[in-house]
Amino acid sequence: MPNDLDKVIACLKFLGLHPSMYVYRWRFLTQKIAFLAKALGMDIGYDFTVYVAGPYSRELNCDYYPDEIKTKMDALQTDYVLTPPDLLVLERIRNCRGLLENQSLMEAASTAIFFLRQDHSISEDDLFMNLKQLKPHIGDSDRVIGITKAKELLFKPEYLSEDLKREMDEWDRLEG
Amino acid sequence: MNDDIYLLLGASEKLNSRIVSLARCLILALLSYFVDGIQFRELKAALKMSDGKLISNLNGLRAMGYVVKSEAEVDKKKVDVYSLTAKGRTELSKVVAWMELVQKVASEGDEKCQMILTR
Repeated sequence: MPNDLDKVIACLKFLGLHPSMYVYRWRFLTQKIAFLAKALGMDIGYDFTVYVAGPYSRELNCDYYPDEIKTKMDALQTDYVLTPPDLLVLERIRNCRGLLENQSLMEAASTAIFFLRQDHSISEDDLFMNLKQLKPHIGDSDRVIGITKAKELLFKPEYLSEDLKREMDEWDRLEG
Repeated sequence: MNDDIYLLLGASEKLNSRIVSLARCLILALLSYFVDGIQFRELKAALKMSDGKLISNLNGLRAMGYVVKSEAEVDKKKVDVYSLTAKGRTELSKVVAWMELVQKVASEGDEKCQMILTR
C-alpha cells in the first residue's frame, strides 16, 4: 500500500516544485499542497486542523521531521505513481494562478476550502469573517481573492447548469 | 490517595513555577503540536493576546531555553517563527504529568465527598 508521504512528494514533483524542507516556507507550502490535494479528492490519509497555522497536519509534520526524510523530500524521491484522478486534482491546483507563488493567497484559499468543506452552505460574508477572525494578518484583498480561488478549485463541471451557461455566455458576449 | 498527595507535592517541587501560567502553558502546548513552528502573528491571533503580553511571555520562555525564535520569509517579508526546544518539551511533559496528578487527586477527593454527602 503506498504511503501518504510518498503521495505528497509525488504532488510536489508533479507541480514542478523543488522543496528545501529545512526552510519554513517549503514546509508551509508542503502542508497546504497536501491539504488541497486531499480536499480536492486525492486519497491522502493525513488529518488536518485549520486552527492557528491554517490547514496543518501534525502526522504529516512528524513524517517529514527526520533529517533523512527531509533529504528524501528535497530530492523528490517517491515510489508513488500518480493515478489519472490524482493528475486531474493536481492539474487544478497547478492551473490556479498565483496560488503556489503567493503564501498569503495559499493560506487564505486553503483555509477557505477547509470551511467550505465543513459547511457547503456557508455564506461568502461568513466565510470572509471566519477568515478575518482566524487569519487577521492576511490582507482583505488576499482574503477575497483566496475565497474566489477556493471556489474555483472546488468547482465541478456538473455545477455548470444550462442557466449558468446562458448567463456566462451573455457576459462573454458583453466582454467580446 | 494519601500517596497521590505526597506525589503531587513532590512533583510540584520539580516544576518550574515560572511556566505554570495559562499563557505560558498554552504557548508551550501549541508549540509542541505545531512542530514546524508558529509565526508570531499566528500565535497572536490564536491566543488573542496583545503584542506586549505575548512578546514578554515568549521572551521569558526563550530566556529559560524552552523556546527558540527563528526568522522565515513569507511573501518576501521577514516573519518571526517560534518553536519548542527539547528542554521545553521536557518541561511541558512535567507540567502535563503534574496536571494529571492534580486531576486524579481532585476526582478521588470528589468521590469521597460525594459518598459522605449521599450517605
